[in-house]
Amino acid sequence: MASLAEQRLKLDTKKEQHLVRHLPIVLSIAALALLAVVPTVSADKPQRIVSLNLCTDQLLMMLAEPQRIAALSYLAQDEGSSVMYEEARKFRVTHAQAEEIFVLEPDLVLVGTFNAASTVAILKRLGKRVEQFSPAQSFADIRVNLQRLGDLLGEREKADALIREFDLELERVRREQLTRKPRAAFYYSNNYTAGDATLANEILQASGMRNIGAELGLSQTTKLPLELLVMANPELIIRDRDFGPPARAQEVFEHPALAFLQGRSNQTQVADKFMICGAPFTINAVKRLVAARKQIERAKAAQLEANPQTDVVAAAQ
Amino acid sequence: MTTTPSYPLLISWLATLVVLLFIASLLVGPAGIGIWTSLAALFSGEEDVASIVMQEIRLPRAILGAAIGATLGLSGAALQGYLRNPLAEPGLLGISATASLGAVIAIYTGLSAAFPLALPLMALTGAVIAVFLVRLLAGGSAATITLILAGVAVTSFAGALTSLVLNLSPNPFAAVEIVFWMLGSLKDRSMTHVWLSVPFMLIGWAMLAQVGRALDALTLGEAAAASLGFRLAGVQTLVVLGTASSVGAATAVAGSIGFVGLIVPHVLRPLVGAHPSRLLAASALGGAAVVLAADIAVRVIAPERDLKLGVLTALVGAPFFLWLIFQTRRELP
Repeated sequence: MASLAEQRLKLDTKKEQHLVRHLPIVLSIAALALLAVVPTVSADKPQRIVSLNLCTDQLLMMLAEPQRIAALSYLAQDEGSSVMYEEARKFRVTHAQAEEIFVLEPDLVLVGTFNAASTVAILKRLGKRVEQFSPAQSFADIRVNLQRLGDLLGEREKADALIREFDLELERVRREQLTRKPRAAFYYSNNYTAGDATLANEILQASGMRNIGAELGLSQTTKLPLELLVMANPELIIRDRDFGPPARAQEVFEHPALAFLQGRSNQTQVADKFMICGAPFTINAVKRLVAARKQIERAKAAQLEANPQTDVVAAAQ
Repeated sequence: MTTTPSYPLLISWLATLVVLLFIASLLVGPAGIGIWTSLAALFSGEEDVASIVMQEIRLPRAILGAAIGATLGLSGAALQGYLRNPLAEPGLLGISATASLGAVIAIYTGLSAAFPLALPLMALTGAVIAVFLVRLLAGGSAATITLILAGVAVTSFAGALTSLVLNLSPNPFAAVEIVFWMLGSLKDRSMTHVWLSVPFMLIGWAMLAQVGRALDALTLGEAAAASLGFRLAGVQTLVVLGTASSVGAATAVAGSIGFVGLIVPHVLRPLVGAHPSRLLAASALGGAAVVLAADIAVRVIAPERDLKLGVLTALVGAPFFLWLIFQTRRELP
């Protein structure tokens, strides 16, 4: 690693000496070039961008022209994790190793909060411009991240347009909310649920439902014992994706107590890739949950029609 | 010198303790249902949330806690009597680790999803292999040092293979689940697990219960036992298959829980007057009490963290094990 860096330094110095020798010519060409080019390309617009995080990968693909993207993270191409996995296949991917990123000669490196601190430190020491993004935990964070990346890329108008579109769609969904808010719970592998201060919580509320995790006083993504889920008696259980081969983490979904709950409530699966990363496509998760809510309302109406007495019991509960 | 209590008194005292801990285990949980509501919900035929919590979540947990504890205590006592070695125990001899390996292969390859009985059967097979391997490695001697060394070798080999199987699984959660298989837990077990494991444990107990008299005779030495009319090959078969069946089934649903089979027989031995046959029943009850108590403790200490049972049993068991080694060393010439 160090020797590679030294080599690059030497190369740079050679280039500099070369430039100094021909300075007058270079300057005049540069001046001409500036006059000609200024309206289209601004000099500080990064042109070789590397992203090491699934969420910045996808925001980057939305905002930057493909030729400016040097590499994405390998997760961007994973169908289970990435919404834009098909588009991501057009690009080179890395496994976030400092060495493989350095040889790509990026002029901007986008990292998430969970990228290895050691990798980030090496890249900074080698003089790379590193910008860190924290994961969106609310719709407000989505807007902030989009605007910040827009500014970094010189694509602020594109970012603002995406935000406007997102807000319009959100407003449209919110307008059709009903007064009754069904109670729903996220239940993920290993008994995890989303409480307050999560993007999932805001998505659920935007879809016109109440989050049992938040009502139980849970914050962030945290464990919810099966007993408490059963006692909370949710009308809707939202699962994460199926991770394929069996593991104990998903055994809870076969538990008879959960089967009992599913017998009396609805169950829906929202692909968690729409919720892992906050982005304009997060609106799809909201729409999916709105559809689930409408189904609950229809089932309830049908039940009332068939058997009016149960209404009293249901209301008492 | 203290007088030893009478055997029936000891057994009834231990049985009462197990019953009390069993009820306590039913009453502990994050849902915070009141005592009388819980007990009513346990026997209620209605399908409301409280009865689901009691009947489908807490009852299987308590049943498995008692049955697995009894298995560990009983097999520890039987192994110590049969091998005439104070350090014999399913965990230390590698039986739990190989049973884990069998269970891990059954679950993570998808075999047990297609054929549920594969889970206890694979674990049982693992346990049988471990007992034979340890016997083979230690030779016929059953001397403390060779037996423990053989157990260490088998345990680490099985642990490595378990880790390999988990790491090769494409499921992102599999790799970290080694913790469960090494330390054991009763979280979110269901009646399905009870039906899968308890029959095998009962068969194992029935086999081990038959060797009591032979173990008494073995205290006089193998030749003396043979002259008293005990067929040693038959005794060995019963001990091996009984241990493998019960410990295999226990490990398949709860992971390996260490030290219970070691401590319980040692604590109870002075109270039964050094009769291996009497120690069997007492150790089964003692083991049940210890695991039930440990499972109550993990839920009281860290209700929402899924603290592993093996953590508690090792915290108590490891110092005891060291003390035991120290004692054994002093007794050597």
